[in-house]
Amino acid sequence: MPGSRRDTLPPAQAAKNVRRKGTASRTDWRRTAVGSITGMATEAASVILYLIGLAVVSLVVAHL
Amino acid sequence: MTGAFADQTGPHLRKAREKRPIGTLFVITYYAGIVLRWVAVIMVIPALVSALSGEWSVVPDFLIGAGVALVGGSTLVLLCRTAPSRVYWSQGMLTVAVSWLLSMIVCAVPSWLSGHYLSFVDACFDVMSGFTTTGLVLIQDLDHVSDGLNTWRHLLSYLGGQGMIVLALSFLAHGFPGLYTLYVGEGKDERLLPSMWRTARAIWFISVVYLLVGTGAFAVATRQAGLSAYRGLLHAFWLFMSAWSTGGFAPQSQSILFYHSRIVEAVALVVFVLGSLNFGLHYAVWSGNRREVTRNLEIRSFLVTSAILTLISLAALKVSGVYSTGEVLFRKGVFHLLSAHTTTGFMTIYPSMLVVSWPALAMFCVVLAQLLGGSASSTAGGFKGVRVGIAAKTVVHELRRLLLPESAVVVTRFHFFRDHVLGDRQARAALLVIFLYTVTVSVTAVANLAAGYPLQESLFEAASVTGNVGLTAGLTSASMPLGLKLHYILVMWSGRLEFMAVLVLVGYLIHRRRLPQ
Repeated sequence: MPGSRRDTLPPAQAAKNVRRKGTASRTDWRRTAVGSITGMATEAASVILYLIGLAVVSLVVAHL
Repeated sequence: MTGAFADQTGPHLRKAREKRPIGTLFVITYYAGIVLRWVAVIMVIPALVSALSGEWSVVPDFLIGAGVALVGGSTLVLLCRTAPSRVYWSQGMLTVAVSWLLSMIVCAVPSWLSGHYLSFVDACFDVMSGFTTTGLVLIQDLDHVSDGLNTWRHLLSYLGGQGMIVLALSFLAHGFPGLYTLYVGEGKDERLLPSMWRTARAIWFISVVYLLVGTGAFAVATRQAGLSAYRGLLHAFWLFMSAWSTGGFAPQSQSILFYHSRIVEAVALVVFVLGSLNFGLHYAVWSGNRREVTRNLEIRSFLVTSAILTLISLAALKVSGVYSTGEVLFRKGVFHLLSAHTTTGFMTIYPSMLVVSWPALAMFCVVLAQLLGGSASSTAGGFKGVRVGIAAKTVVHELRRLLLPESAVVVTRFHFFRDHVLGDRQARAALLVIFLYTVTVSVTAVANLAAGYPLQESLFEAASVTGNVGLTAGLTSASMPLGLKLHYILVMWSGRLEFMAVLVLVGYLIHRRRLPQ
């Protein structure tokens, strides 16, 4: 819109804003990727710990 | 609206559509048509796998199936002419119930054309078993099935587990009005994000990321078990889809026993336990809320019930002398108990051995585990952990009310993604579904007994089919009576949809003009 802030921004600032937008998008993706990996690792570790617990129970029952 | 719902009519027609409420039959027809079109697209995947494996004689089966789905779906959409502007709860439920049945018939076409089924009903049975992530099969000569058909069977399980109607509509019909009603109709009720469309995408993002990682893990395991690289990758793909969706289909008739591999069994255990968890929990943990793992009522309920049942069944197996070492007790006893509890249905022993060798107490524990099931809003069946947890809390709540003075205010809290105060409505809803499951198991057991099967096997199979588990005591076979096959199809279908959608359909058929909106 004529007269709006976007219209009056100097080209260097406008270019910086565009770069910031790009960075934000990349940050989102990075956050999603890190969240997925740590989330999967947490879930898998929890399940493996639980299974190890059941394996110990099996060993104990076998030796009773 | 965009995609398939793009309104191509003029403004006058759009206005007329908004004023005129579209009848229930039109709503069902329209959305079922869209789902069938989507089924046609999905059939391209097994056709491609067949082509990659050089099975050119199998490709036409899927092309014919895709053609039937496309023509059928397009006809239904054309019959309705315009997209509904609003979908009521009952209409959403009906759409899910009918779409599953129509999809079953269409998806059975390529299976039937493969020549591995004695009848079209048998093909329908296997497709419904796949959709509902049950895993019981009537297929003939499973060990010599084409790669394309194996991909198709496992793909049905994978899609059915995530919720195929929601998948179809969320991707093909972004922004359509009644997605949440269909989501609930398909047995899921945990909205991960404010928008249903985003919720469906989040579910699929989690599933696809796990598909890549899990297939990789299975590929290493199957390679170690002695399969060639290509065959190992195919088996890994199939096994992951089956394990993640807690489906229980396997590419070989001996199920997981075929591989004789500790690593395959270990990977399968981890994947199917992960698959039985609530998508809301996956989302919470992936978003950084790791404390939810220890606080969630459903996880606590699963830990308690599975630990108690495992301990009892292991003790029974040890006392009876069936398995003596700790490793065998784990690989046979714990594996089957968890396979039942997560409603997966993978087996590492022959079904006949389960009946002949296992003591009655261990069998009973497996039956109970099959009924308890996995988590709500997951791919698993059964009562679901949250309902078991709420039922247990309700019992404790009532006991406290009886023991404390009348003037005491008894408040029971639980944590399920957020803190809740136990109310009558939650207790009633949980107990109603548990009651309906119990009635269905009883009716199915009576049907099995009427067909002449022994009591123990009848109860076991009834729990397996109702809980969408897939473990078998040997009853389910192509030689079982036709009436029982049809009954099993109905039970798998209603059990997976948690009865509500099916009950609404029955109500609609009886009181068609009085459908509550």
